[in-house]
Amino acid sequence: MTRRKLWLFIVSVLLLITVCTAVSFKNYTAGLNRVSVSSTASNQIHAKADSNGIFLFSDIQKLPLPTDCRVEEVMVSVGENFEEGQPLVRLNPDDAAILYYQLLLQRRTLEEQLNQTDEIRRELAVHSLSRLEEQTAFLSALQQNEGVIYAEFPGQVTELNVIPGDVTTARSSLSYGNLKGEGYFEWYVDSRQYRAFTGTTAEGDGFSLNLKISSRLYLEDKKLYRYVSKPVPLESVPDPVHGMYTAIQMQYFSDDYAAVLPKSCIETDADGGNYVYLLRERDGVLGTENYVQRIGVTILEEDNINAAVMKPLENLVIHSARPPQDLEKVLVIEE
Amino acid sequence: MRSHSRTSGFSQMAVRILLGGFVLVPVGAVAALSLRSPLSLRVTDLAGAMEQFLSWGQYRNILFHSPEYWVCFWNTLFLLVPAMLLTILFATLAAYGLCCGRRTRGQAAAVMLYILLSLLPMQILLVPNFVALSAMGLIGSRLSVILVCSFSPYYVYFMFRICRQIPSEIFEAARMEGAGELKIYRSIAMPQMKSGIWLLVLIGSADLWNMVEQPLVFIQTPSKYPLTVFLRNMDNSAGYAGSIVFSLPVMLLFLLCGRDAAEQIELL
Repeated sequence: MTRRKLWLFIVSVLLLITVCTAVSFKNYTAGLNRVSVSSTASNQIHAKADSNGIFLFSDIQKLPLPTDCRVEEVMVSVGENFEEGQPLVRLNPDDAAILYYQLLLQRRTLEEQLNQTDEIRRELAVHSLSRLEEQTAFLSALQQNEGVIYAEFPGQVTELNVIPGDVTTARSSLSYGNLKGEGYFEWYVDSRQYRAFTGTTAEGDGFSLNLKISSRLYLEDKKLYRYVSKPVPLESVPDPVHGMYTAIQMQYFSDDYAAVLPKSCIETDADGGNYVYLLRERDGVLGTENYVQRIGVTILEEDNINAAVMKPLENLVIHSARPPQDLEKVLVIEE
Repeated sequence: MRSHSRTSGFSQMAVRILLGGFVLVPVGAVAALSLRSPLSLRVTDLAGAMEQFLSWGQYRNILFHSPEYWVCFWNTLFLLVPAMLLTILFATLAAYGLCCGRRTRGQAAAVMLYILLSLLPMQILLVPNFVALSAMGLIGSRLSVILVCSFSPYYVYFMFRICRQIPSEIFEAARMEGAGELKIYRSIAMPQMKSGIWLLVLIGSADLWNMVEQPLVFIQTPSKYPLTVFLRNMDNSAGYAGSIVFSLPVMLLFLLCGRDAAEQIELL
């Protein structure tokens, strides 16, 4: 063999393996998974639960309407505010007069019963008379006002179950909230969202209030927690309406945890165990190789974004171009 | 009579083919397995069988998707080339030293010693070599393997046999002309031993190409391992094709130089 042939052979082999090396490296790096890493940090777990609450007046007065009176006119509607002395309902004055005299007759009968020797009858007559006194006084005033019922203090109609033309019954009434009083919020939270909430806010048009919880009740059948706030002054709620919907946000801030990581990097296996991937290094043929290793973690507490785990973790894979595999070689993207 | 000799010739050829084929069974098996698909396919029809048993997948993986393979390939060359150059240097120097001058008992004893040392299995020398290299702080470096492979008593004896064929009168004439030993070595002995050196390169390359134990024991760093060590850990997806590709350069070298080498060996 000539020396030329030999050199040609050597050069060809070197050229070939150079090309193969270059192509292999290119294909190899193109096929590697790309990951970003970070470490766990000391942080709090912050959870919040949003709910729709309703605002209610604390002081609700019920104005019983006298029975068997025709309703001539209703001057207010539900949700309407009224001032002190404002007419609310007008009843038929004749019906009111008839009722008034009927009550006077009843009163006379009861007064006669007071002279009876039977103690039980006498006691019953005493109690019935005291009630009749109130009713006759009310009907007397009603007669003087020509059947019109006036508001005794400023308020808001919360319930009214008569319309003009109705004849009042024992159930007919007009309920109203005292605008000089207080109000409270009531809302429900799904049991799955339940926490030992540390703060609650109510937000509506033009107001934002920090609420204190008055009571919490678990409704087993609905899997809900019913919350009631402590009363708040009505002055703090602009244009309060009994039963209006209000956005309630309950917040929870945990104590500081030593190791908090993004929840997005935690995965769950078929058995329900949680695990993360950590970036490791090892000596390989290509030098120091980066690879990911699957490590089980115990979640102490979590919120929608973060989770607290038992031990601080370094080189935690927080993002990867595709789902990593255990012991897979990767390229690390520097932040 | 003629018919009998023809029958005898055929039977001899059949025996040769049989024996030759028997020797080639492992290589043939590796070559056949290198054509299997890297994936294990469910073969239900002819197309599936072709894909399973006649696929270039392993070769594709090795040639274009295995940078580790090629890094180790280069590592093999990084060990082989310097080791071969040093072997040539040390073997030719020692051979010249043994050949030049008058033959004495000491010279014969030295040759005998080289023969005995070359008979020692390499594995026996691994531990003493390791201790010595460790004391020199060379464990973990390529130099450890290069040095161990460069001082081969077998190749000294081999070159001694080549050098001995050079007429001693040539050396004596050169000395009379005032040439020094190094001058004689460089200008007379080396050109005379050139064909022997090529033979040494051929045999030595094949030897160094296939070494496993020394790199494994002395280097201990995966990124410096030669391909022979890396091939141990290759899986079936490319391992067989890797073996075939790895053996190709040496096989081609023998195909190119085999005839010259055989002629040179006949002269020994």
